[in-house]
Amino acid sequence: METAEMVRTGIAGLDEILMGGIPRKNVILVEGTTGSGKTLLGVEFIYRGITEFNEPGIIVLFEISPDKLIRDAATLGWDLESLQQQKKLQIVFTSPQVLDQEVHSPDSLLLETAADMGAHRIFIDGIGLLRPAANAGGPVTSAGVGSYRETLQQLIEGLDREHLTTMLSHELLGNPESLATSEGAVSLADTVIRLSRTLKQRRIQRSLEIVKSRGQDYVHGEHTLEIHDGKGLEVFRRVQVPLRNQDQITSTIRRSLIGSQEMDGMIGGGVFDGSTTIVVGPSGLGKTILGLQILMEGAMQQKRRGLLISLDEHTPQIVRNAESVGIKLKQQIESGGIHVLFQSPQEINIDAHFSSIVKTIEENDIGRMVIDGMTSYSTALGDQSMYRDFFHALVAFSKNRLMTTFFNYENPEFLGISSFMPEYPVTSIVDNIILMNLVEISSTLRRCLTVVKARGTKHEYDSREYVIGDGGITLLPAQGEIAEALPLSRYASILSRAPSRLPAARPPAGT
Amino acid sequence: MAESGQSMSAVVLGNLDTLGIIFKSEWDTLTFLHRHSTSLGTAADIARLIGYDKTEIGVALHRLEALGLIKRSRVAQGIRIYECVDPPEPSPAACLKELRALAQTRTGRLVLLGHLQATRRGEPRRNGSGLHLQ
Repeated sequence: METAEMVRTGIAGLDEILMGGIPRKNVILVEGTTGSGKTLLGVEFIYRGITEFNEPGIIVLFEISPDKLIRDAATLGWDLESLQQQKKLQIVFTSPQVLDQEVHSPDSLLLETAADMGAHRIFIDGIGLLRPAANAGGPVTSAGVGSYRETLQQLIEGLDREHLTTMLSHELLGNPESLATSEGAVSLADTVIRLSRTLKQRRIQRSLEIVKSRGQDYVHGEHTLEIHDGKGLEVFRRVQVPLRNQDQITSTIRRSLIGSQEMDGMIGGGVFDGSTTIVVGPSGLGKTILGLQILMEGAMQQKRRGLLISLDEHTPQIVRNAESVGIKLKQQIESGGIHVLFQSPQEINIDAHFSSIVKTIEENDIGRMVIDGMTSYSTALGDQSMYRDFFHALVAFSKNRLMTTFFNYENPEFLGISSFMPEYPVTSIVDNIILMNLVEISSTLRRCLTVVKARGTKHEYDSREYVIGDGGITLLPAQGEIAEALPLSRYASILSRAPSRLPAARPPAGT
Repeated sequence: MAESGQSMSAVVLGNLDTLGIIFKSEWDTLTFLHRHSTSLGTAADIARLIGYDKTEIGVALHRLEALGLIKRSRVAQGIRIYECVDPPEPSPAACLKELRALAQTRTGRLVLLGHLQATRRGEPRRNGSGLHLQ
């Protein structure tokens, strides 16, 4: 089968979702509710066509005044006025009745204009308005819808004759007329892009879905759509496990040292490169500091650039806290050895956030990553499926790159853990689990660290006390005599997870 | 105030004379076409959108074309493409720009309307005719 020539939209992120673009000659329908970004998408399709692919274009408007369109486009940095003067763009204001008449006309002025300027693309905004023209404004009947379909068909035929790649927008209003016209348009279009605008936790969230696209494959699902001042639209692929080359190596026997001989010893000589580790513990036990130590060790000793992702603390605050325990983070940030990515959890959009993580990793060739911490994602997203998708995608992405990744997880319980990551059990996904705990000894709370799991490694199960001081976390040497481990029959309350030793059985009397 | 009003009046009058615009329908049509970049339709469509009689707009379009202020395509089944064009001479172009700027204010608009004739002699005036566009 011959590969179709692809038309790139030029809209950031959209061509990746369309796996390169849309087959030329496909009729593209963009439908969505009010304010979802239909007109903007159509205008950017034309604008990028002219400015990036040298394909002149026409914009046909029924309702929006062209001068307002030009004004609004200017806020995105698009100088439509200048493109009109250069005869690369023609913004045509007309009525549905006139367009309807035009498409029936053998000497259409619109098509003549397209030919004269060598237009390759055309965007017609609001084709739902053609229905009253086609149906003389009468009630929705099967004949009316049929007539609308015929009008659209004739319009598409006419534009196709001029070799124009056509994008049509259609507003979804939720009433029977809108649904009927949408149905007609969807069945005639080759590519259907659906936009939506929803209120989520008092925030507006726009999304984009490719409903169908003949002659090509594309990334399914609902992706995030954002509008950036001075730039335009940007589509962020739905967070999902990235595609992997079958030949890609995703495991190795090479080790990533944590940086403390004792800790590396506990985990069997360091974690494997490309492994994922969860560090679990209550607040204030030094998870962030441990993360920083790991990144510092990577950047300074192993020449592997690090990335710290934080939803809780700004970079200056992280630097200050690190300096207070003698970790020279600022120098590493300035030299590019460690990158910090902070985003406020209030405004987080997980698709956009994941995209910025991927971009930072790829652009800076990151070898170690610390996510500080997962609890903030869980709270900010408020959606378990999104949280799960994000976690899976991050694990898969880091493994694909053989990146060593640590996820900090703040456990809500201060003394002991009765429920491990209750929002979403991920222990089977990660390779290693390190517990940081408070233990009550006499009347003092002391910190201890335990390696609970280290996949593919013979690790220690001992809990080790640690202190936080200059340089970060230091394990204290095992002191004194270790109590003899007795058979389980010599303990009580094992199932209640508060075991205590039974007194030694007295020898029977008379012996 | 009176002095500035008088000087504005003189500027408006001078500019209208240079451009050759006499009627309110001509100014409103010109403003509509300027806002809409390139319009595809009939004189009746424009008349309906700005609230005039179609014959009046037909005449206005004809005069504006003759004055070199708009461009009209050939007619295809009653439809034309209308485009606003900048006058080729620097003086009319500057006059048009100045008039547009003055019409951005209410005072400017009132002075402008004061110098434009509502209808042609002998033509009946429609109730509420025209939008009095800037």
